[in-house]
Amino acid sequence: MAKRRKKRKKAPKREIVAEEKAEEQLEEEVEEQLESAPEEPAEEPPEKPSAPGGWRSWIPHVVGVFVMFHVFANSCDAIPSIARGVDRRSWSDPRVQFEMGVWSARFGMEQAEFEEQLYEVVLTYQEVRGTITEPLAPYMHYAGLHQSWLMFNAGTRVSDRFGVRIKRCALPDRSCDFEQIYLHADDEMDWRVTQIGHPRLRSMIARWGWVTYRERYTAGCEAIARMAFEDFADAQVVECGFARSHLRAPDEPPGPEPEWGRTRLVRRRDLE
Amino acid sequence: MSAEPSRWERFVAFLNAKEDPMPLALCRIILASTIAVHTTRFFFGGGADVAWIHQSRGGLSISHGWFDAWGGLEPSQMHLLVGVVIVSAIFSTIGLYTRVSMLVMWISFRAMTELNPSSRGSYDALLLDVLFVLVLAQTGNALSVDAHFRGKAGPAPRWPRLLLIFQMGLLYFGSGIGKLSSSWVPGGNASALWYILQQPTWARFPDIPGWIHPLTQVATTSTWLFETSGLVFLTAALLELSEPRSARLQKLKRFFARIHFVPLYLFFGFTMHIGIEMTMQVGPFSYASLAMYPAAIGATRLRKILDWLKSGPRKPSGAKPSTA
Repeated sequence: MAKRRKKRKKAPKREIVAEEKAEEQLEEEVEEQLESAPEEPAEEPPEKPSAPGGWRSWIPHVVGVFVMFHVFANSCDAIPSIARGVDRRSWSDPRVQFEMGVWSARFGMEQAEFEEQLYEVVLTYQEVRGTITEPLAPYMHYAGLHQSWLMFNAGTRVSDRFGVRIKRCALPDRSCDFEQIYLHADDEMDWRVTQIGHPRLRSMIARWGWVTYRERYTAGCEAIARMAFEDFADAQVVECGFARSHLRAPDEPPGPEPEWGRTRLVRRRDLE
Repeated sequence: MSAEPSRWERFVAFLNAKEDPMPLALCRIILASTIAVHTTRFFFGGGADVAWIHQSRGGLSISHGWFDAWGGLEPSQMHLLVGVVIVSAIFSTIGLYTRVSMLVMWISFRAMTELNPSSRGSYDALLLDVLFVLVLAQTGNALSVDAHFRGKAGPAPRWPRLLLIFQMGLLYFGSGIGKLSSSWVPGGNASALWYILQQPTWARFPDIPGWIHPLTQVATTSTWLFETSGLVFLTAALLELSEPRSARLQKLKRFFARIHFVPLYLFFGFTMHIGIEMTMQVGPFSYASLAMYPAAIGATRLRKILDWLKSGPRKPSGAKPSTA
């Protein structure tokens, strides 16, 4: 009825006022009759979207459930994972050892004892985290979501720069020496810098310096060696490595020259 | 007489309330253009041919990602996949067939980053987290070809914006509580940024002068405090948007409003990301983070900022024009 009234209101203004009044009176009479009459099925079915109980009325509730679930799943996933810390091989790294020293001193414990107790805590923590996140893992996986934000956790004094060297004669031959063709962040040794110097690859390569990524490092160096042998037709050996230096403390002069180490050697004939 | 709506009904109504679609549209533009620019640069710089090609085919990847079952991708197929990412990102940026474009971008970007899981950065995770929410949102209802020429303009539901604010809180809080190193936590020597800014892996200018050390100490502690208060920000932002019934929450809301917590937090975050972008090379992480900011800034503040940018800084009345 309300709709009919609205339509009436939209009628052209030219209509005579008296006629309008008569019509309205008639309409009111019809309405009264209809209201007093027994209920009959409506001629037109009500619009589905606005019908209470229609499936569309459930959408906001589905959204509510989804939002709550999404928030819960992502919050659980945001509990920091320290899976890498479970591998104690990485604890021997000087950067980790430095932190262990600082924190054991803060807790007034011997470093060895501190490390043992910390390891127990790490294992329990990871187990609890796994129990919480496991049921939610399928959702996070299929939605492509990831909430672990461990970034720049330590400002360590040790710095590693990845580099590549080539030798144009056989390895035991002392008539030629290694030539540095790439060293990260060095403008002069910039072989394929737009590729291996890109942040996406740099972060991948930086991980190779850790003991736990040893196998990936070996495979990665082989792939880099293939590229170097392509570019330098006379190269016989490719060596990947890390130049380790100690960053300058604010009140200290620059440290000693970087140490070249953790190398991988690939000979041309190994790849043929 | 209508019954009082239940707590759940109020919650559902709050989530589904229709509002100005501009914040979500801006989130879409920043995020999609970031993906378009980053992927294009990486591809044309030659990085894609190294990172996303398997070692057996001359690249650095040890995985074929989603394409393992089909024997992996040939370089030409990888190029095609990257092309799909770039084109869908451009379509999403301009808002042409926005929903479909966003969906294609989400799927293809995921497939692309799975080609070498080792070369994924935190920015990939963040881009995908934000993208997932934006795919579900009505982001094409403003600032888009769809809205201007295809009659798709209109308000958008509020809940995706809330999820983006939640994502911001989670990102900063998660990042803050991970910084347990003695060089970050207050009470130590606050030297984290001093050393991070010298790390050649990330730093743009590793040779930093000694006189900025105190500044890096201030920046270290303030960054740590900013990040660990991510959940406080989330609380303040949600209170700002809602009408709490409890007297305590109303008081808390007034407190946050009085100290301008949300705008100050966002301002600090914005300057921090600009600082990161200027001093470090961390890929598109800052842009991915800033893509969430319009959601937290909200339509009213955004329109004020846009008006200010359009009109420029006001000249003081009575000031004589310079003759210089």
